[in-house]
Amino acid sequence: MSQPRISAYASLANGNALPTRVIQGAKTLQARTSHYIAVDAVHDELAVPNPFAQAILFFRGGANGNEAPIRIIQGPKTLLNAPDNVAVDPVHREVFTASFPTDSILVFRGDASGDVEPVRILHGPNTKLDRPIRVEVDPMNNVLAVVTDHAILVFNRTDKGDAAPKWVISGPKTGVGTRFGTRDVRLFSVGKKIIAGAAIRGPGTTRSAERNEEDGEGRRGGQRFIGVWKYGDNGDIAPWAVLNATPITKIPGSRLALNPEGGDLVVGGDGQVSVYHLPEIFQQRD
Amino acid sequence: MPGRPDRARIQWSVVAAILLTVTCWMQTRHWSGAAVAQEANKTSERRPLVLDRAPARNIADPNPVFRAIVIDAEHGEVFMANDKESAGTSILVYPTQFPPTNRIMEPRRRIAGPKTDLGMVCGLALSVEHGEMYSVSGETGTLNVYPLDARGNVGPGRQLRGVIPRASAGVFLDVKNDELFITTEHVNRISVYPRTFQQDQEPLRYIQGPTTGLADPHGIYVDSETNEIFVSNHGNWRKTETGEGEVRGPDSLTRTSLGYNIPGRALPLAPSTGKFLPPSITVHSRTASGNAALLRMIQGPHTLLNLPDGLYRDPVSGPRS
Repeated sequence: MSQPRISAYASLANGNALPTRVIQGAKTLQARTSHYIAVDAVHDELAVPNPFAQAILFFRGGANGNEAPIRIIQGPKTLLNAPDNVAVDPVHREVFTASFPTDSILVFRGDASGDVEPVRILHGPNTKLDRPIRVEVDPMNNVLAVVTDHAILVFNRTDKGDAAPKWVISGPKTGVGTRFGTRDVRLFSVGKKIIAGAAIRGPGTTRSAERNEEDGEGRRGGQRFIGVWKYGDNGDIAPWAVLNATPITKIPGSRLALNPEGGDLVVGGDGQVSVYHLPEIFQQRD
Repeated sequence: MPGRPDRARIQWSVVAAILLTVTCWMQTRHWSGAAVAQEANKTSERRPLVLDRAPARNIADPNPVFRAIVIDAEHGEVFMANDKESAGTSILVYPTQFPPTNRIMEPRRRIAGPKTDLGMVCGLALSVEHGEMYSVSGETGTLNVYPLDARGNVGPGRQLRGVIPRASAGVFLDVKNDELFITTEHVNRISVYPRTFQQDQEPLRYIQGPTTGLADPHGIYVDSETNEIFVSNHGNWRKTETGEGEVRGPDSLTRTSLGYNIPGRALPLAPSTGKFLPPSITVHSRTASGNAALLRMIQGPHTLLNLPDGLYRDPVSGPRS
């Protein structure tokens, strides 16, 4: 946290492991507050937002040390405003970012550079976008998922303008939404699953503060969980599967990464990363 | 014969039964028992499949990361802010004098725990005269005050929770004028409060706006003799409005710095203003207010500035011109 950096670890790293490489330094143009990273394995690139300079940075997949980005999306035409997240669609070569201040989703060409206009914008009252903080894309099923203040909204990948979401996961049975601590959403294309973390936490409460509040479902304040929903789930629906925060699971946060081949769910937060072997989530059909 | 199935019908029935069995087996062989039971329920009555199990691996470093440092020369103590969550965010207090060692030295005392509400503590300041320690956090919109000799899981004695923007990086106490100065990186701002602030105190004044030169400000030092404020800037810049970031409910100018859960006005889609500027130290008048132009700036390749954070001026050897 103290200095902006991207650390890479071996896939099987465990404990107080050293990173295999670190992307860090003034040339990298990272901000101290960058909350996301997207990996484009097809084109071997990393994408990182810089909210303070209103930019999306792209690095070589093998970048190391004080290495400059290979390209930057930034400028008046981009309409970027405090971008804090980025998703990459390597199949259709597009880049997505949810714009928290402007209630919109901006889509750029994946190889865009400099001061470029978005190729699509999702924005308007029918979209139900309310303080969106994360977007994730599934190029296989042409689906787009967005975390908002009190919901996960699912759109068609190519939706634009004032399009309504096709599914809305929201309500007390779901426990999702930024107000409950949801900070991430991931899509498992093959199994058609929506995976999101949540931590029931009162507005304005710090992670180190005492958590006494209780939500309507009887969860104590700060109780974290990772929920799994299915494509097509719509409304106030309990998750299909759940990984609760317990003294055994020790869920560190609600940032997520998927390793379907290994059957692993990776959860980050509170300065640590935990890997859970949950092959049930990654069944290819059910 | 009537009433006796012929051999061909029996054979087809057996084949159909085998096919049906194989099909069912192929459809369900990947399902766990719980999942099968769960699928039997309607979606609206769904009972989640509970997957609670220990992590297979965990990557974490239990050692602190030091973010801010401040010295109490009178009591021979140095205070360090640790904003590393995996090490438990804390303020660690060490003696200024200690024998040389190549071993990890335990702090003399530690302020940490849920009652402290430290957040990701980024900035520290002290008042020996008033026996107070001040902290700001990159996570919260508060300024916390603790007794100088605080220890363990103690709550702040006072806490500013007014309109102060969220996520501050640096704090400095101007002893002569009894004022606290705070930098907020998200909204390129310096806020000034009386040291004796009340919980919902409005700032005495603040410096913010496009001509201030502030660009992702972090460390801050106030020279009360020359009436100058020195601020280190990482260089991430965008145009900010005067008053932006203040927490004023739905009437707030922006949402970006309010925290995720707090409502604020949605902004229109508009041309982006963001730029990367070289890192800098900007110098401002101590009494400046609003969108006041900076007095001067230290910036450029000769400065060797690289993500500058902490800032201090030696009152003896630091030349003033």
